Amino acid sequence: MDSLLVFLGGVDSFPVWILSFLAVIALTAFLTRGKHAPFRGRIIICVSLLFLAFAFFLLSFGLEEIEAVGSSARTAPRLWAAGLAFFTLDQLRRTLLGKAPEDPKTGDVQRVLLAAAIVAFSLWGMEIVGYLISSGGMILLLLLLFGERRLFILLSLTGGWMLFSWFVFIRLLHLSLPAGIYFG
Amino acid sequence: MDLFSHLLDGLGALMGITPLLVIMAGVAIGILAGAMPGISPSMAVALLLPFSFGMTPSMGLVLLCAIYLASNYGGSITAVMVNTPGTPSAVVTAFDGYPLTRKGDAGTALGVSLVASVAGGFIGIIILVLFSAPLARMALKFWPAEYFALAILGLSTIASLGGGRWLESFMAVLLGLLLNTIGLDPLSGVSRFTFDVVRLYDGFSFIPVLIGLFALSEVFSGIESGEVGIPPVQPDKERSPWPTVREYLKLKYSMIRAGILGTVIGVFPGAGGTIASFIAYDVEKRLSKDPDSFGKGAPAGVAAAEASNSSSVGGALVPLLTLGIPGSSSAAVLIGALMIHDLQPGPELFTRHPEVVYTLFSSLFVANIFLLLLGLLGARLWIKAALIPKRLLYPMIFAFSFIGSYAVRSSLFDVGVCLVFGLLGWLLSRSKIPVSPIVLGMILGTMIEKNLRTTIMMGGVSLFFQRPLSLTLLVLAFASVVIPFIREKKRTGGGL
Repeated sequence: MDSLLVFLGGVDSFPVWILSFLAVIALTAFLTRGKHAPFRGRIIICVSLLFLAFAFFLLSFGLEEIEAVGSSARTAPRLWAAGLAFFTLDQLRRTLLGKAPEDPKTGDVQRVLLAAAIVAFSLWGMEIVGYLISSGGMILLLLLLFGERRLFILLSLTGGWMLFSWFVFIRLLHLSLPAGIYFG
Repeated sequence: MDLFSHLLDGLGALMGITPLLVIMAGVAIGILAGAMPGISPSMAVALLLPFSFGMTPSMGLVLLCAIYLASNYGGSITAVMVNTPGTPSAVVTAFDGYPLTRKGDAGTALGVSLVASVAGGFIGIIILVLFSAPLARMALKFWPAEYFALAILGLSTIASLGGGRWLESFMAVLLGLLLNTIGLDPLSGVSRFTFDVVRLYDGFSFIPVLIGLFALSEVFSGIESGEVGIPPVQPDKERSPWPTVREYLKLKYSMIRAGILGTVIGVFPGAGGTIASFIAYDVEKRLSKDPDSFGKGAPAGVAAAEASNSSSVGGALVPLLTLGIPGSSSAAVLIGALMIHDLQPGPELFTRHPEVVYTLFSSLFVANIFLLLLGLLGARLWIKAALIPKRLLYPMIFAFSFIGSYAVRSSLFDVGVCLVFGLLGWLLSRSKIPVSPIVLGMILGTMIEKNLRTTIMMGGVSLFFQRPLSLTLLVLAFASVVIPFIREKKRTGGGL
């Protein structure tokens, strides 16, 4: 049991946690077809929070106890995890009984995910080409995604931001922004 | 009488081009630093600390205190304009400031936040000057049990923050508390839920979480609802963008109440402007004749938040100057500044270096006047910024959020945290789960846990009920959750 807890609390367990989480979500999505479909989003959030509370509670058993301190590092996480599970279960009960508000109508989720992907890509790119180029590229792509087509606006905003951030954050405030592997 | 003659002497020391320029520069830098997410008041004071080396002790302290004072207001500008609190204490300002901007009333939000900041600042300084000694004595009576009770009182504000969604608010605050346990245990140093990732040893940095939950989630929601294609709300050209004197006067009691509350809370070490603004906002909402308007653009909400966080500056200086105990992280940096100039904070500072203390007191009055003038000048520019179309503004918010998240610890990991919390905030908002209680849980988590466990070690749980002050605060916290809950149940006929 101890070795299992050590494994689950270590960096190697990430794939296990991620796969378990995805499996639970997929199962929830599958089970909420039919009459619970209008509440699917809310139910998935409840199940995710329960998963989180369970994970913290389980992992708290693997936390080291230091007798000399006289109080346990396990106390607070268990208290909060139990509270979260309690209230989330009640929320889930109410949702399944149809007493909670239905999920809102889905808007342009595709564009949200694309924007998040551009931002994540830019974040990854910062380690390679540095903050200035990466954030400039991000602004350009986001402007295009949001429908801006005027060349002057595209170039002036992108270039303006790069100049502004170089002058204010690097020259004036001496922030050590990522320079990237080519410029570092 | 001595007090006033000392104050007049202090004021006399400021009457010259150089001292006034120093104060003006401090205020201007403070506003700019506060407006940048990621640059907290304490960071701004620390960054400018080296500039005070070459100055006299009085001028050095005057510069740093002006920065501290003004950065608290600066944080509200971005909170109002783009829902990105520049400082943690400006979180509450965003609750009503940003909805006002969305309605095309950025002028009201900015005007009220500025005037409330100045009013709160004055209240804090007056209390600082008049009641330094007795307030410091009261703060000394606080044990961990009282700090725990104070934090629980702060937590009880979720009753207001959730906008009537009790169950969702409790879930959110517990999620915040749970996430706050990630990192090294504050008492034993045991690593908790870090998965051996070194960057998690300090837990989630607060600023990236804040920016993600408030700014990015709002941007994602805007993208989803198609706001990028909608032109911004134009302000009503028939009326001035600024509130009228009558509108300001309507808020006078809110500002006074919040100002006094903020100063008192600011006195307690570790409490600071953030808790002060949460509690003041909650009190104001409960006293309001129209509590439902809070969270939707109530000027009283902006006034309470700003007056309390500005007045907490005066409060935080009380234990700093009289006992040598910092009331906030910025005050802790100021202790360093005092020591650099061979000044020992504490009761002796008043007897050995009264000229420094009273020059500082007087300079805070002057700094507040400069804050009003510079704030009015700058606000005209910020109002114009509200007219920028969302499709141009959103990419800049992303870029700005990156800087803000990165600047705290120079870590790209924190930028990733900001993005993840942005998506989390968006998903939770879609399901009508409020994000503000998550922030509250993360702010108060360490204070609650540390003082809970310390009290248990000192004498067990019964200690909370044996100490009158702690018991009073706990009863207040309990009542502030239960009474509105029962009232709400009666109104809706059952159900959380």
